[in-house]
Amino acid sequence: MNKCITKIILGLLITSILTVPNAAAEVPEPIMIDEGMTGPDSMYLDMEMDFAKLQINPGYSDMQIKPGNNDEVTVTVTNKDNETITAKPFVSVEPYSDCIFEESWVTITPVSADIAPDAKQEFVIKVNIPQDVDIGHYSTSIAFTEDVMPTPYPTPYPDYLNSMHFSVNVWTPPNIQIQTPFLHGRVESGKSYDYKIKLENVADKDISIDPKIDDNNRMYDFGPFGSMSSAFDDDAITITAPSVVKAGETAIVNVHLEVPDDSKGSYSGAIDLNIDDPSIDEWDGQVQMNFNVWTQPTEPYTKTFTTRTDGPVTIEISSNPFSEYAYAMWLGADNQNQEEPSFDVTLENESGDVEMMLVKTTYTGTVSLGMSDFPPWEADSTGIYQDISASYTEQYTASGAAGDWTLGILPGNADMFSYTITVGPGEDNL
Amino acid sequence: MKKIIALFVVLLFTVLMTSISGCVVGTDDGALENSIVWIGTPPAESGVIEKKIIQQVIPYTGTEYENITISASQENDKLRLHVSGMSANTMYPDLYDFTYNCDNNELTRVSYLLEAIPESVRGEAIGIAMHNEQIRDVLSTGMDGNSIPSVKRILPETTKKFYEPKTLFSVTWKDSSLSALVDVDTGLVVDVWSGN
Repeated sequence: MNKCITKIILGLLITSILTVPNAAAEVPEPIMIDEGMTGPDSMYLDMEMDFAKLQINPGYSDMQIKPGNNDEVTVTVTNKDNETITAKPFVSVEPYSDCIFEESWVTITPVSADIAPDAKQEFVIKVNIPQDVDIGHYSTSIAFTEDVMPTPYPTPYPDYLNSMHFSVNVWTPPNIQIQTPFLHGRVESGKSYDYKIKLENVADKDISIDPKIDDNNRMYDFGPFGSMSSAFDDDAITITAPSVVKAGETAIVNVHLEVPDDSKGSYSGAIDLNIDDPSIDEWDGQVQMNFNVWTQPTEPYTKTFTTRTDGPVTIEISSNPFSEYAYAMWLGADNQNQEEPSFDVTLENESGDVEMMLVKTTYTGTVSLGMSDFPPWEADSTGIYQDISASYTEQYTASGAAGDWTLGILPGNADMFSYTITVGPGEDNL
Repeated sequence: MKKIIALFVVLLFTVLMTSISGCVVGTDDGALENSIVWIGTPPAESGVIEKKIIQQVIPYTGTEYENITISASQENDKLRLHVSGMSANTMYPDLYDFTYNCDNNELTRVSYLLEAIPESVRGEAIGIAMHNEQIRDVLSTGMDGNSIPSVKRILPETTKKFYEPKTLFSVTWKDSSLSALVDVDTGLVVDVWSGN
């Protein structure tokens, strides 16, 4: 009897030991996350959570649709799980974007599909943009299951695991063509400049405009290294323009820039044309401005040096090969004003001014065959010559004498230059 | 009556021939006839080569090549051809490099650098690029990017690797290693490259 009881107890004990893993396996895996839970515990739960595993291709779609038109994209959903999954796509609207994507714009066929393991199912997503929708960039997600990414903190809207990002650019051809889309160039302090922005109304109705300096101009003064002061304030710019661009006509917005005497650095900003037409969005209605201020020196740079021999003095001065002049300087947005660098050079010794003779001018350039340091979409230009930089050099000589000298260089149209002083017979004089 | 009909047909034919001759115009249907100038002695196959080149050099829509110059050099059993297309209303030429296999009469385009772009389009492309936040951030630092950028036409065969097969423009500030791939049809910067 005792043996029998012992066997029964032993059998129950073995059975209980063997059933522990099974019992444990049947416990539903927790996927609910306590809002206050953070740290390693929540990470563990993320790894253990159960969700449908779908592969969605493409994971991102971008459409350009005019109001009143439609477009569609076919999405292939592959079941990467080991059980059949019911995919029931729906639009997950992102409520905090500037342009709210409307769920009613989308129809998805089929509405639902059971996808077997490793099977593929195509869904056609059709987007109809109503005629009265404002132009802009509309984004949303399209989710195929209700599975969401658990987060240890509340989120404004759920992050669906089996979803694709969907972006629609609602656009119309602009009724106003901005023929001067940017003002860009180098300006001198103390000088004034006049620019013209040409606007052409290609619509059959008059369109109002109200050009003003953009309110957000100075927010761009915060660069990667902190606050940067602008070369001048917005009030250095005066804008005069008509209030209406008549149908089929061209209007001119006049921009007058008075560069203050003490301005230095660069100015970056925009003119908001405030075009009252739905075909122009906020960015399209702006004219970007980028001015680099420089000051033409009136006094020459001076360099003193001492010679110990009576050999000739050779002075060589070069413009910076990467200065703006190497790329052709534009002082205006609509007319190219290429100016060559120049140097006024003087030389003095203890006897007074020394006559210098310009003996050589040299143009130096760098030409690339596009093998490196070009954007990838310009790779097909490889093998064709491209100008990269250019430099201008003047060489002067003067009769030498031992003693103290002063070299004076007044650069024109050059923001940087280098010089070489050679005493004694140079290579050219040997 | 027959004479009048015959005269009308001849007149119509003459008008048609006149209207399609004289220049290469940028269309999607390919090129027509135009003036071609060879630098140096043309190769024996120049006639065949000209016809093939005309089919492969297409100016920007709305512009036309006033003349096309070709120079040829022998490279092993092939001809290396440098082609330049000049337009009246553009500052820079379109440049193409081809190889021509004399054995099978095959013309292969190996490189292109297309800057024959009307100033209005050039300005529009730069304007679109300057709207881009990444581009604007670099330009607004004032340290780089103050030069006028180059603007190059990028053909669909190339752009399909980065966006979709359509003509786009590369707006590049070389001194800043900064470039924007611009779609002037939609006014979008579709890609940005920063070599730094």
